Amino acid sequence: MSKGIVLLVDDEPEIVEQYARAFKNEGYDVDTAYSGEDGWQKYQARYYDVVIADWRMQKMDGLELLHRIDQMHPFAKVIIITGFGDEDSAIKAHHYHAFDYLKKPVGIDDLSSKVEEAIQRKDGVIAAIEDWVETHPDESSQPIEATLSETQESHSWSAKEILEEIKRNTDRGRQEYHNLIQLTIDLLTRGKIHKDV
Amino acid sequence: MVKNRKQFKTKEFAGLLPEKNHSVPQQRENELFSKEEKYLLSQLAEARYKHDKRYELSNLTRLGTLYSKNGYSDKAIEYYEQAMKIDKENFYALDGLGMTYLNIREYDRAIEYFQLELNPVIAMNKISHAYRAKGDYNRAIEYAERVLKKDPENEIAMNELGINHLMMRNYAQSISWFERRLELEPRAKQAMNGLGITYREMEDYKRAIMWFKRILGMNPRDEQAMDGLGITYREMGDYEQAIMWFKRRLELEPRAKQAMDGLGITYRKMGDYEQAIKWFKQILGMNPRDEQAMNGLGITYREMREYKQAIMWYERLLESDPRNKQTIDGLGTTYREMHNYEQAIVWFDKLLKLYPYDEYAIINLARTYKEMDKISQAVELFKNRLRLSPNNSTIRFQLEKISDEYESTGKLKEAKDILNFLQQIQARSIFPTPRKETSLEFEYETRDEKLRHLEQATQRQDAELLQSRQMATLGVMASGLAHEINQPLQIILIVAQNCIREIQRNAIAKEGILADLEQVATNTKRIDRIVNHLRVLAQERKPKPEPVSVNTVIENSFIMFDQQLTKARGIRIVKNLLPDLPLVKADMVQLEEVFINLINNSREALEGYENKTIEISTQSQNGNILVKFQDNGKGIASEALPRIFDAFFTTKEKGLGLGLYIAQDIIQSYGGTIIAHSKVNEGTTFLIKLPIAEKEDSE
Amino acid sequence: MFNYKTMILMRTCLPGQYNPTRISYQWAEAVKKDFEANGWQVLDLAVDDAVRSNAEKLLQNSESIVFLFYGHGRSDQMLGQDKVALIDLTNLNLLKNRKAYIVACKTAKVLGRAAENISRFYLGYKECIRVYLLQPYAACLGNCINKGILAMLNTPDRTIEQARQFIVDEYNHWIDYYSVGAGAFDYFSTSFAAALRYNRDSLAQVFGDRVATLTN
Repeated sequence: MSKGIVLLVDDEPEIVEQYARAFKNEGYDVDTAYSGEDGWQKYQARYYDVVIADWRMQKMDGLELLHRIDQMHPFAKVIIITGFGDEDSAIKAHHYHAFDYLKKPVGIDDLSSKVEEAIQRKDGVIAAIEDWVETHPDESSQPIEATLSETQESHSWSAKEILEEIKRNTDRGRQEYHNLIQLTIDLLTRGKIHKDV
Repeated sequence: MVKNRKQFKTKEFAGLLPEKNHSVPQQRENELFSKEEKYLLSQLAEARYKHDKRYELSNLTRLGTLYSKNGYSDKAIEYYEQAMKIDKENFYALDGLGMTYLNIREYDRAIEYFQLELNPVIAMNKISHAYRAKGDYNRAIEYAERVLKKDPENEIAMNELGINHLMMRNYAQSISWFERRLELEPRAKQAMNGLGITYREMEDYKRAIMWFKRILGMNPRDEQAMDGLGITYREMGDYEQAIMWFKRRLELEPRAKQAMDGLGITYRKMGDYEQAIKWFKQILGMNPRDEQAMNGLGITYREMREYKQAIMWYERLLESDPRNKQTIDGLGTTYREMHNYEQAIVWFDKLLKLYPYDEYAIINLARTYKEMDKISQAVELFKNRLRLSPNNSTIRFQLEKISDEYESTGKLKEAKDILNFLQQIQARSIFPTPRKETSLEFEYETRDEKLRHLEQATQRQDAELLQSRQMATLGVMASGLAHEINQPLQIILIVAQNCIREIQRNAIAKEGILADLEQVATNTKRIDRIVNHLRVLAQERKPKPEPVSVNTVIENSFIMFDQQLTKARGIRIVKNLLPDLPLVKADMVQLEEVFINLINNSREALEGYENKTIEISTQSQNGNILVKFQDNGKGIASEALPRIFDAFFTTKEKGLGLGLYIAQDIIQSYGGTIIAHSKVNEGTTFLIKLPIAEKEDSE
Repeated sequence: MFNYKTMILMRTCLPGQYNPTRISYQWAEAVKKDFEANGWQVLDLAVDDAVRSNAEKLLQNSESIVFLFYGHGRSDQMLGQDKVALIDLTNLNLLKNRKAYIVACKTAKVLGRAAENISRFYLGYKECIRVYLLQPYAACLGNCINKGILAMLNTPDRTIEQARQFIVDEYNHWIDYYSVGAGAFDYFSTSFAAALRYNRDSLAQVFGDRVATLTN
């Protein structure tokens, strides 16, 4: 089982190849993209645990990619690599909730430990579901839910499928994620749980 | 179903949500603020749930900063103090508390916290700033100088010194500090701003305007500079210009309350009280507790002699800011104008108690005494103050004025008494500063000396301008260069590390290692070329004209940009260089500067376009070398085209606007010309003509 | 004499191991049994009988006031066994003066609204009903779904509005039970609680006469 799925985005092919080599050697599942645009396309098609993107790129730079990912995916972990290290870019990256921000030249150790850190900081919801799916392999493949409507929604879903949908950030996945959050809000509203954690 | 999981898993989800009963003030205009707040609070809850102290600490301080920056001081202090509980030496918390207390004018508490900070340089700078805010300029200077002892190039300290001397009217000193700052950092706009303000206070309006405009040259949208210009023009009495600059600022930022305040004051000076009041009230519309606006209204009503209104506004301000210097002073002045001297004195006394170093307090109090015919009291007041700060020329001047008045009313004994006293307390500085109320005449300096001083200053600034030109070109290169070097560095680092790891794992073959080492070598050479070239360019050298081939120069300048043009940006370079091109007589490095600037401009102009191409061709004709430099990018608008060679003209956000000015300067100095043709969205063409070197020159 | 203790029930049961109508059919079965135990006559159009032609004929000829439907739905249709609309806007007037209790997705959105001035009352769902296919969850959900109508059955003067509240309370009870109560242990129970919450909020307001009871 791989340690995680990483997307590497940089418009300098030599660099991407070397990052990919490093991460593959570390046991990660790796995808590469050679521009922000390319990265964005790939990101929408598949779930990634972590995205590593260069700050300055053609055709959609790292910041723009980060922004789009942040808007779409509340729990994405994006690491930005920059050659500049100025305050402005740090603030912007922070604003769009970059996981972290590294200055070039960055060594494999630093990059790798950052990625590990990111992977550990999984989204609470996804972590809970993944936990369950792992420990209940049979039940999680069984359809558990369906709706009383005669449209696409009447398809019955298994937990594994739902997890996939959430990770892939499809409509259904977002619905399900949202629904879980709604439960917590409801419990808070009705005073069944309290916020002082 | 196996019961093997902890209950209450929902708490994990709870960590994602904002607090339900969080008490927040009603008016929150900034949506970004609330979004950020929610996010941080949820991160904080998550951190606490996971018992991650480090993350909790980081979120506490981030929240503190968020609140502090948005004016919620109480909340900020609350969160910072929570952070301190986890780590009582946490820099962000200490510094944050210091800054927050500074904002609410509790200077002593602020200083307390700054002194706890472990980093002495930063702490001392902040302490200096706090003392300045308190009005204790001497202390502020003391701390700033201490910083410089530890860190002689600390720019913040230099800035502080500039400002403090300015506040104390030691203009020569403040100028010299700001200039030193500019030496280190030629684009330090704070220093330029400081110089602008200093010259303005010296009433050298021309210079003041020049400095503010220089800031605008770097950044045409700089609001401080616009403000500075507005105030300068106003003080010159050119109200129209002043209003124009303030309004220009409002165009950029419709909520710029400084500009509104500037307009309020300007209209008031023009006597148009209605307009003045309108502008102050507009500020209050945005923020009903704005102190500048309320003070402004107080002064306006007072000038209109509507004393009751004035007092009302002042007192309203005191409700939310009981220690506002201007307000208390305003109240004192108002009562004095109403001839209610008793009350006036009460207020000025209060002012002095709160701000014992403020000279206006003294002057105003003294003036009150004078109006009450208690001149001797005024004299005593001034004498005491001058004893404490013998350099204060304002106080000195005040005493001299009184002495003159005594003389003219026949009170010769009293007059002499004052003069004797003044002689005893000698001024310490060599460059006494001009007084505000008279024209620009130095008392201890002859006209000639003054001229010499000014000439030296001008020469100095011209030299700086020359150097800053060179720095400008380098500056233009600097950001590109950092990227240029970082790329190969990154490759070298990661290739080497990959190779090492694979060797350790026995997962690489000889060929693989060879390939890796080749990559390292290639990239090292890349860096070497760039560094070498940088060294050549950065040398401060006098131009050495010699016979050079423009073709060679062009090739050399492209070395710099290899990375940025081709690989990263897909720009096609087409060179049609005439073989055996006749030589020109010029300094090679300077000519490179020209092409570097053109290449850089083209690179930026091509951003976002398809089929990016830069075409260069060289040929010879009629005793001249002709160079055509063309790109098919953004182009230049026809309104801007005539101005592109002007100094400080730029259409970009970043950049000095000196690139083409320098290029033209260089070409012209060798007897050549450079012109530009351009069409928006089609591209720009530069045509350079340079005379061919004479036969004798090529010896 | 008109026997007011008559109830019309239409319920589909589509093939397929995971079709939710298999479960809703069982819920309907439980309701039918309860009604019959209380001395009611239940006119049951079930499975293959649950088609438009039969439905229209029955509604035209019967004087029964109470009408229940369990099956698939859309915002403007109740769907029959043949997947064709059984009740839609064109024959909605067949529900004139009737008391409708509808267990299907989304019908309250359009049909229910339209029925406001036609039926005596109409209680349905404005969004989907998420059905958990495993036990005991399916049965638990069934309790919530049926709570209203059974509350009215057991206490004759209970109004439909009160009955609706019973449903909500029942949902709340189980939401708490499976999220923070004794039934909570992992993602599964939590997600079921989330589904219950969804269903609870999907329950529409009562259209028509809120204080009508089952027999009045």
